[in-house]
Amino acid sequence: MGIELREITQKYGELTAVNNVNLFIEDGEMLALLGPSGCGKTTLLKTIAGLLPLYRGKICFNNEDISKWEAQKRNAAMVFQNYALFPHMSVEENIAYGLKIRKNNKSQTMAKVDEILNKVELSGLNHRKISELSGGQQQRVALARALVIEPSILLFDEPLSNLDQRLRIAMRQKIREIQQEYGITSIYVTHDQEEAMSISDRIAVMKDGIIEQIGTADQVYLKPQNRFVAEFMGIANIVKLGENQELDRILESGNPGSSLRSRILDGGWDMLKHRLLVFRPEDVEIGEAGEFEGTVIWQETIGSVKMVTIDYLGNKIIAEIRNYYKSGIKCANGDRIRFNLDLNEIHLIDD
Amino acid sequence: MKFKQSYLLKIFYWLLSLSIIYFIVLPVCSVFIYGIASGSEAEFFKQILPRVWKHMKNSLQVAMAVTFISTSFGLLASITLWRIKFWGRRIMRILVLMPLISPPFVGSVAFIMLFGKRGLITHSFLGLEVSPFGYYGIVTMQSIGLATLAYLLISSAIKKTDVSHEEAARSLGASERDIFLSITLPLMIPEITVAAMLVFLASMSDFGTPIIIGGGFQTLASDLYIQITGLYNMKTASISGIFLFIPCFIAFFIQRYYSGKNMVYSHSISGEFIEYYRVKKAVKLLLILLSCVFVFFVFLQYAFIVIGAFTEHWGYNYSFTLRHLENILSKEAAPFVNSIKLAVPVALVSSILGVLLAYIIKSKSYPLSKQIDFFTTLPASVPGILLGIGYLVTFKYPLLGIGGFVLSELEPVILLGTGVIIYLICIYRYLYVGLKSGYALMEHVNPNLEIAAINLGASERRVFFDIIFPMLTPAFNVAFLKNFSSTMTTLGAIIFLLLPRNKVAVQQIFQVMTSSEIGAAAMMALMLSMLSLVFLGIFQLFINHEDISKYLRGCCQWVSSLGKLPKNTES
Repeated sequence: MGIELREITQKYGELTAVNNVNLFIEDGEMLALLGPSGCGKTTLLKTIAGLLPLYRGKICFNNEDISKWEAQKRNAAMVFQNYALFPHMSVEENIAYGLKIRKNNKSQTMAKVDEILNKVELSGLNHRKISELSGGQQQRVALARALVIEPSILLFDEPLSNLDQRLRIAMRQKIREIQQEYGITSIYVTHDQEEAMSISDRIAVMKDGIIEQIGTADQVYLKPQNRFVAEFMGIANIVKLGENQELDRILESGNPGSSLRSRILDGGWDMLKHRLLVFRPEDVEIGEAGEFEGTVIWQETIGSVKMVTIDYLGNKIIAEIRNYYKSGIKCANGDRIRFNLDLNEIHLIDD
Repeated sequence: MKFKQSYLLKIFYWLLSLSIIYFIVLPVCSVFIYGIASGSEAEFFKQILPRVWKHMKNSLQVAMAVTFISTSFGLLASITLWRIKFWGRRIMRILVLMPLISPPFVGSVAFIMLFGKRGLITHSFLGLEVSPFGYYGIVTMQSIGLATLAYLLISSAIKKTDVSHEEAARSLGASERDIFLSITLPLMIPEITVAAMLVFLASMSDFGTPIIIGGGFQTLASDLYIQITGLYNMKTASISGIFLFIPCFIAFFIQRYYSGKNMVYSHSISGEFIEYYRVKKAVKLLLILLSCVFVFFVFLQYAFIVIGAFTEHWGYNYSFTLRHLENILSKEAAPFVNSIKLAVPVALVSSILGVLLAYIIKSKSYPLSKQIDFFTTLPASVPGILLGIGYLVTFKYPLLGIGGFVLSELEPVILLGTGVIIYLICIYRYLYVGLKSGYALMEHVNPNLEIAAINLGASERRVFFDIIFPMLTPAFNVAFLKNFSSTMTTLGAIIFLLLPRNKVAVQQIFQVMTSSEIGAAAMMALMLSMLSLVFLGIFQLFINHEDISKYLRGCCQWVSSLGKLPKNTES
């Protein structure tokens, strides 16, 4: 089911939690709402679910205005951060709750419960109490409870944030698998950019109640539209051009004929407006033949990857060395080190 | 863990434990010993048992009806005032709590003014000479008073509601009615049960209401009072006491089992966002209407107290007078002073001891702490009047009680008849309040705090005075305020132990009430309520002086910024 949000505004008293948001989610798509805590992403999600009264704007499901519909009628099942499992009911009763409301007959209900329990790999735990389940199991019961009513829309409110790292990765695969299998239009709220990138078709990055950018994972990662998105989507190196002559020598770097400056101009960038050059750590190449020289101020090794922070004319530039142990590169804090910029695509943002 | 242990704390713990056994367990046991040991079997079955049984039935009838009505209204008001948005709910939240600071017979005074033999409704409007004293009167008055208690307990739970369960049910398609019946209500069963049991207990132990408005209908607790003050029959009183104790103890145990059972509270969501925003107009109006009725009744009591306090002679002469006020200020001021003199030290000592005990029990693994916890909370299950009898039969013997059995020839040190005994009974009776608020605080305290300080090289004693003591102050403050208002309005426990010279205000009101001097009683009740309120206000100021001075500073800045504003515009 396609979802359309038009000029949605939500307020808590004086505080504007969601500010004039427009969004379209295609049928069967999984959209991640990504942003820091307090950015309004959960408020937006609850608004779509009908759990918060709409302050201003319009919500359409399949082109039908449902802004005034009650939550019960929207058939938008939600998976909560704390799971919100009913503590006074067993696993089975929790999952069957939505079906009972829909007046399914008993044998049908039980069959569906068993099927969905199988799907989330919890077969046989029908009569367990909620308090007897582990965090991961509770998470899966919450998912099953939402799935079993065959919702038109699935809404996830940071469903994995109470699990440990390893379980999170396994569960996000599971969620994505099931979502694609059922083809349910879904919205997934998270503050973890890695999770957002791995699970969704598109990402909407939010800040202070405003959607800063919408796009696929590649788009928001490689072509952030502003500093906030650039820095929120992983580590970003941002260098301000046109202010310091020495620093501007970066522009002349690269092969003759395809210097950075000429590539920027060829790309149609307006350098008076877009003055911040954005590149990622993997675009920085450390090596003896590097054109630039800076001082190592910090370095850390995680597995086979080494991240090196270089001070270059007062700018902090972070470089990533893959296969560090095989690379033969040695560096310690305080060392002078040479590096190159190896930019596939140039991306600039305005101040 | 091995570090330097402080003997100070250990000694304190053992001394306090001994005194708890001595001043709580011993008197309660004494009632049993006294009741069972004395008297012949024939007398017991022929005279005592039928009398006790009759009053027991009355007590249970009253208590069950009151429990049902009060808990229902408490629940209803909690939901309406905290989960439904409407104009005026803030003021209603305050009005509902008024009975907490007033002496227990305020309702009864108002009841007599309306429905007594010369009552406004019964006599003046209906022309009746009789009054509907008895069962219905008692149930009505207790219900209004105790609904406040139920409201207090249930609303404090409702404020912590985790709405995500309801939201989950809503997004699964459940109707609001279904959600309430299948999610909200079942999740509140622990709080509702706790509230119901405490209401039951309070109703069982109330003797004032039946005495004043019961007429021929007396309950076990009120009969107990009559046995002692009217018939001087300690034996029957003790047996009644045992029978009174049993249902109370059961209720208390059910309450203890259920309290703290609910683990589904949210820690992040505040009371701001728990309102139902989609309730049917009719349901909303009904809820508000019922709550208004409840609040109206509470309010009505006070309105009549105020009116009665300034009326010449209720039922005969309705002209305005300051006679009662002058009377009290000139002749009867002493009991009010005594009340304050009792309540302040009692609140101070019992709160400090209770909170400290909570700290010791929770954080030190001293032996017998489970038993001490149980003994300390025992008075919560014992009707005050019963504990009073326990003191009466225990401490009339020399050597603080046990002398009667061991050293009969020594110089008698008899506690009964001294002023000290009422301080002791109040302190030990309310020790559990400090204990409980101490526990509640300790749950939110990081257990590593103490270890961190020890790790930094502090001795156990230093840790206690530098870290623990300042940390415990909020629990102490809560307990102090509660104990102060409880002691100001308590009667059951101390009524047999008071002497004419240390008579407290509540007792004075009770005596005046039973001799039907409505105007004087109303004025005294009003004054006592005001007095409690003033003192609570002063203590609040004292406790929150930092917040208040911050607020005042803010105000000053605001005022001075107002002064500056015109100058800026000129320049």
